[in-house]
Amino acid sequence: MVNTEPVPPNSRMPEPKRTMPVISAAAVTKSWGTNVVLNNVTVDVLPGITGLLGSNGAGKTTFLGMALGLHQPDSGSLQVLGEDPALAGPMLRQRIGYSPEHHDLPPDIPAQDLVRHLAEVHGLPRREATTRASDSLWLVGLGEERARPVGTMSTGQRQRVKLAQAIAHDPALILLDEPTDGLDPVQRDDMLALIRRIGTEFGISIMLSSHLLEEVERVADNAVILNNQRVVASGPISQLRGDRTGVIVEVDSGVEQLGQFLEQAGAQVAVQQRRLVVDSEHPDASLDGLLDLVRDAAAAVGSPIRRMHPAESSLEELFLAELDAGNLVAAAAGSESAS
Amino acid sequence: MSDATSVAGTAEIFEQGYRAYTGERAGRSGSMVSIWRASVQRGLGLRRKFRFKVVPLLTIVLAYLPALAFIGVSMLFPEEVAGELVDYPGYYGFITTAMVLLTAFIVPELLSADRQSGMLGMYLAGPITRGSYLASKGAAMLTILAFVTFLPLVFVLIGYSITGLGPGTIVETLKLLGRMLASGTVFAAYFALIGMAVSSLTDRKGFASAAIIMLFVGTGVLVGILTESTDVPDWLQLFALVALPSDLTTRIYGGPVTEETGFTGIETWQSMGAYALACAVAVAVIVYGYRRLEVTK
Repeated sequence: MVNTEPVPPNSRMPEPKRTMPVISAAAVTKSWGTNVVLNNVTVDVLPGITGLLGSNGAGKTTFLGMALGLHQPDSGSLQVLGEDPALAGPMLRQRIGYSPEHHDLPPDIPAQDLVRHLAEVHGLPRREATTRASDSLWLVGLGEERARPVGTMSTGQRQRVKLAQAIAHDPALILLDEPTDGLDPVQRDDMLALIRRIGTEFGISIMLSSHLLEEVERVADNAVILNNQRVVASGPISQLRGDRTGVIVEVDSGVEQLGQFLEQAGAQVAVQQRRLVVDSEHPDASLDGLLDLVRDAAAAVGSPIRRMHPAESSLEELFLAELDAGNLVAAAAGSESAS
Repeated sequence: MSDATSVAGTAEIFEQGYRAYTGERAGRSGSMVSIWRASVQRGLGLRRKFRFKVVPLLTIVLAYLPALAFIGVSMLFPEEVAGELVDYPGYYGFITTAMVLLTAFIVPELLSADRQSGMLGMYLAGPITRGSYLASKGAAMLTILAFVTFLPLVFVLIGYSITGLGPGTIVETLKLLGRMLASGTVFAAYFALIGMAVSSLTDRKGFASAAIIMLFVGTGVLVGILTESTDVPDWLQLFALVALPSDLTTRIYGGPVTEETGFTGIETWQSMGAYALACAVAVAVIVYGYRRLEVTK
């Protein structure tokens, strides 16, 4: 029987508690022939938006394939939405939306028909699938274009069609494989904003793979970084950026005077050309207090501020630091506790 | 103009936008039915441009034209043609070309195109296994092929019955319908499986279509040349893939096996064994072709 009761907006089926990992891998190893793709990967992916980062060939697509239950790990165990994908494969995949990396879609089928058909394949009744296909295409910005054959669409539009088919059946988890591949900067911004909206407004957990650190940093709450077949870091992005504190201020002139003023006021200052990295001597000092101090000091010495922001590491800095350190094994072990 | 007050009193939001789905889901059987329905529509060119309808339409017309001719003749000259008209198993001889053409067009369209366009990966990322996907596609092909392997004979039966040349009793008619269903299934399953086996080895529709035609026509011509020109054992006839189901069908109807209707010098068990072996080999090739596929890229 199909439930025809009115559905309150944004209500969802019972799903695992928000603190439970949506994907949990324990010592997962996977090889293709003699090529080890993932080696002893241990990671917990929490609800929310998670970026799966890694260079080409790092094992991102293989990891997504295993999460879908399409490949079995050689060793280790994997849980997705609380179930083993190797055992619960088809029924589990009914609750997962997947957008593949490739842009090939049946060229002569209208977007609406394609999304509706795939929603039906995921178990929705035909009438419901038709309505939800339309709603999904409107959500991704293709409402007016939904009758167009997919083959006549641009790469950006096809990426949106793939996203629409991934969400049309109301999954609990969406796996997006390189969702910004082939997009120009404007299309990329739009796609990232859309992913962010789906992950926050509709409460659907999302894992997106990407080889662009900056992209993941912008859209995701959590990140899993793969390198050399291992997880080198994972966890909330705010934690991954580290405990670096302080304020970075860039001024047009009067760098020396500003530095001296701040030191006299009790701050620790490091000068890098026209940039100052300012921190408090007191570990408990608030960021707001430090920002006020720098602002007042700049006004007092007459230094025009060009840019001022809290000091924090970017994921790129973190990633490069891990590579420079050459201690990937140690980093992988550390990631287990981080997650 | 409508009354503003009454409109405000019954206001309702119809467009709610994207929202959660709390209803039941159909499960794997629903997924398979959806793939079957979409495949039948695609194979027959429904909801597609006219050029995709041409081949299915032509082959189906080709399968019914002889029936129309026989029924027309039997209506115009019932006494002269009584006993001279083609019998039911013999009708397959007139429509084998339509079957081969439909198989060569439909099967790659339903299988190779899914691999080329990435749809297979999309399906398998849903609640579908490779086995249930192939079962859905196989069922779709049987449905489409029934238009040329089963329904034309029913059409002939209706025509002959109208002109008084059909079976005399309801029991006889039902028996005949049972044989038609059996022979239609023999043909449809055979062509579908061999077409699927060839299509599972390539992503290119054109290559698959050409290979299917060459396989059926080539083995038929080769066996024909060998049996005509040299003294070869009778069992060699069984390698004429296009004629194998015709021979079995003749035996299903209990008709005499002649050079025109089947393989002379071959026992029924040999014919059935060769048919089963051909189907088994086709299944093995399909399983091999789909097990080695990488689908998440």
